[in-house]
Amino acid sequence: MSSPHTETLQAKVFPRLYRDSVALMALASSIEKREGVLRAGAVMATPGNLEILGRSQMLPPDLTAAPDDLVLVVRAADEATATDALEAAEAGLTSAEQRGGGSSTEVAPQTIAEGLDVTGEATLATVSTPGTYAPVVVEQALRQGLHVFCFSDNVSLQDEVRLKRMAVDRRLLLMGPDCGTAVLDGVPLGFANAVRSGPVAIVAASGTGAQEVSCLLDAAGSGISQLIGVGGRDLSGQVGGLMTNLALDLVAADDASEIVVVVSKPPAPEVAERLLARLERLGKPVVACLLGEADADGPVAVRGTLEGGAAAAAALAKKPLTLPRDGGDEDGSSTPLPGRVLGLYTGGTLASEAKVVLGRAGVQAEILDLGDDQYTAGRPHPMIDPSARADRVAEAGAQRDVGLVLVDLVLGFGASADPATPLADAVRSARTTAAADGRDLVVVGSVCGTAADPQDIAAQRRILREAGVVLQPSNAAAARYAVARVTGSLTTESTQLHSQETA
Amino acid sequence: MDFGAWRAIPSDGIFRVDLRIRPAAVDPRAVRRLVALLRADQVGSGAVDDVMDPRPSRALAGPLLRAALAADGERVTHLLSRLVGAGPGATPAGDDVIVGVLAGLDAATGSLLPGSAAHAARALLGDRLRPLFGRTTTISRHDLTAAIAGEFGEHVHLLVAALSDPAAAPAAVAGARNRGATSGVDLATGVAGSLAALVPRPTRRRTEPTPEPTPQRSSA
Repeated sequence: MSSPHTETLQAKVFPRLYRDSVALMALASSIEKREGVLRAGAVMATPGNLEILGRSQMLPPDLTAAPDDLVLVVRAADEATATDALEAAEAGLTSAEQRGGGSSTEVAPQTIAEGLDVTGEATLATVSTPGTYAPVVVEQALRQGLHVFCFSDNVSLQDEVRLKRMAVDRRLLLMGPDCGTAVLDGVPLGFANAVRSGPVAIVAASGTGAQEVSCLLDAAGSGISQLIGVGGRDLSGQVGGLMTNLALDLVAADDASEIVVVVSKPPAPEVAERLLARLERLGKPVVACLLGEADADGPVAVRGTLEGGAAAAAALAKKPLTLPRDGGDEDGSSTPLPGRVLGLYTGGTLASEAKVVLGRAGVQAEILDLGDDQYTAGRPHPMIDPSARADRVAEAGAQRDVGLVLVDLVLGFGASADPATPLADAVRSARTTAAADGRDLVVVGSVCGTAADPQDIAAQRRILREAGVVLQPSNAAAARYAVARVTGSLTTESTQLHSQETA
Repeated sequence: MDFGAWRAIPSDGIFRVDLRIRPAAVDPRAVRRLVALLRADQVGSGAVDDVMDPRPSRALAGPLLRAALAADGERVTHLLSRLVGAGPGATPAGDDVIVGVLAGLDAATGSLLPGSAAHAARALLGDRLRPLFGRTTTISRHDLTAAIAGEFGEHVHLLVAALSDPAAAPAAVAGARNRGATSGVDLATGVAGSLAALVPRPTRRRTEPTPEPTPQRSSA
């Protein structure tokens, strides 16, 4: 240690500057590690702290500061070292300010009003707070004239109706609550895929349903103009399609939207009647993709599966959907597979579609939507955190009565960066467990995504295929393949898609 | 601040949250476990005159509660003046310790302490604390004002919940370690360290397992 006679003490006061304690601790520690620095402190200049600094000979005699000021003090072997250290520390504080990191003078807006102050030209707010608080924020946004994308769930039906009425009065979209997907003027919100632009507008009361339809349209070489989510309850009797109606008004008036697809579970009967009447008068070709309904052609084409809806819209867009057979059973076995079908899904509407396809074929199956509240139980949605679903898949290997497992894999913005790997690992583990027991476990699935999605769909597919997953080009095709395997009716045609849908 | 939007909310849309701490069935084993886990937290040089070291402030939690319960106003003022605004952080460590002591006092009312003694100690702490507000930061002043009024943040409630359940101690201490550089542990020590003074020791020998010391925090 150098002699106290050559040592120097320097300080710098930053008036009314707050940094969180982690940043201050790190700053003091990094200064202290500098060559020639004997001791350093970075604290609020309260009388208590000035006293402690004084006791440890760390308080310059002329220092004046108030409790809300930040003071840096450095004792070093010489003047130059102390000056350098203080300058470096000051730079550290400033860069923290520029990054917005470690700063308590928050730059990120905390309220709708603050957000508007920062970006005066915003037209839409996304709300993703706990459900209890969402109505307040949604209402603030609507009052400010903003469209709202409400990702939050657990909003009461009463609030949903009240807020949607308010939105309709203002001609503003309230997408949600519990809205998973939207693409507005090419901007994806929530879980959405990088779908090319095209003539089809999608109005959807179902998140993954809209994703599957838009991805299949993309695969057909078509694309979407707008994808407006309305929340899963919009077509219920209580909400009465308030937002679906407004969305239909908007797409009817939108020149880029030439064809309209409505995606939903079957609406409440009284709502369905009004909806179909409305769709007939829309002035544009319409496909009503209502899961589980019987396919019917009329003024409005009704389709009971997502794939059927996408194919009908693609045909209207003169881009027929002819998906390649992506892979399958090499030996084309026509022996019925022993064991039952278990569906382990991350996408709720994809699970519903599988049920529809299996149900139409009279195949009993257990299809679980693992994104449902009863399975997530406080964990992130399985599209974000794939591990919960992977655990279930791995466990299926030990279930002796299960002969075939159906899975989905959803890519796109908001989804996990690499959902295929945990699923592939689980599939390997399940198949190994079953094989050790003398059984062959068939795993069938499809990937909902586009070539432009951030995850690299080709790589994701390869990872699944290498793990032994029989990949099909759509979720409905995967379900049909499951039907063919368990009924022993597998033919090479099993994955042919809606060849009748040709304009 | 513009609170106009909040006023526009119909009254049935406002949720009032009760921030007061309810008396808990404080379990002496839980208190001892919390203290043992917190003691393993190593920050700073350990020197009494190191302004970056929160431990001198933490050590005053027990003495402060004892002085308040003994109605020793002079000692309470002396200890508070050593704590208010002292130590590292935007809420200096000493202030976090005081908030913790007040929270611990509320939780222990009825189990470790008779209500009358707790109320008197609380009143004394409040009376002696208010004149010292000018000695700390605005943020801390807000915390201390709320604590005197008996209102505490969610992180304090989580800590207090661990006072009646020894199994919850490791998670509570882990949570405290993640709050600021030292604030969470300062506060937790205020809660548990003060109550430790009221908890009988099971034997004369120290029987608590000593947790592994955590490595000194790096400056990363």
